[in-house]
Amino acid sequence: MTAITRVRMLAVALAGLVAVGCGKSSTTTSPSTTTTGPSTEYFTGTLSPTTSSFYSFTVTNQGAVSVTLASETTAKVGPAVSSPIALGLGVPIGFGCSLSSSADVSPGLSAQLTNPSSAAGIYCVSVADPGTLSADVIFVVRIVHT
Amino acid sequence: MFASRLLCVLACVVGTVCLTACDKNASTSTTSPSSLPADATINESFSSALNVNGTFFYSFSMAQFGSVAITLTNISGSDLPDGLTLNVGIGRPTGTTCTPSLSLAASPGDTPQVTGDYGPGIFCVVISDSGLLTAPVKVDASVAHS
Repeated sequence: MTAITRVRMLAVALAGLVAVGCGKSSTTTSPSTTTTGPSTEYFTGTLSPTTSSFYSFTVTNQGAVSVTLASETTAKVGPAVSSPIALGLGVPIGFGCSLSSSADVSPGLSAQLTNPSSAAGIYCVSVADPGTLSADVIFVVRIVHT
Repeated sequence: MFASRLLCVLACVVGTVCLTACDKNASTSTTSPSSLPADATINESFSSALNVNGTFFYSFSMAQFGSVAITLTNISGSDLPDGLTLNVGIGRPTGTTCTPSLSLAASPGDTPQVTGDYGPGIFCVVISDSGLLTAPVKVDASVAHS
């Protein structure tokens, strides 16, 4: 065995030691990334003429938020009504919900408000009489978020 | 002779690489710990009516981790019972309420009754009847935060 060969062997051995010695553990674990699906919350209540109400929820991972006014009736068991309601999405500030988007909407099956990329944090959905309600209505708002 | 020198140089190089790679503190760029809470520089005052057995909450936003001081400054109304206290707490807006993580019975005064380090994010002050109210009152309070 020549000196050069010995040097090469030593280099290989030292490289192996470096690789092993710098590792935190000799055992390896598989990545444990878990993907959770979106959460659904329901905001329900009674909205009287000239009033408003809001509901806070927590987005735990950045992702889409969709808000749907799903139902509007005059009683728990009663006819559906289609009077527009002011639906809003924002963040709770002070005594209310500071809106970043809003629309006057009637009940529907698809989301009327969406934010495709909401950062993690606390948000709120508000409902308000846009000036068209003449009597109390019972509403159901579906909120889907990550 | 050449081989011996080569061995020596190689050993030194590998040793240096290993020490550098394995030393977590070897980085030349350092960051200071940021665990100290920021001073409260924002003061928000608010007032609300409080009914018997009632509750209300006020949300505020903290841009960073910092000190929070909540002061129940005044309770006004007719027929106030002696030694009147209200429940004062801090928490997170959840649903249609504020879920307190800390709450205590407090008498009005100039010294903050609820203090702590929180943030960043959205938090809320919640004030409720501790069971002593006999009539609606007006409540004045403030929250200092970063």
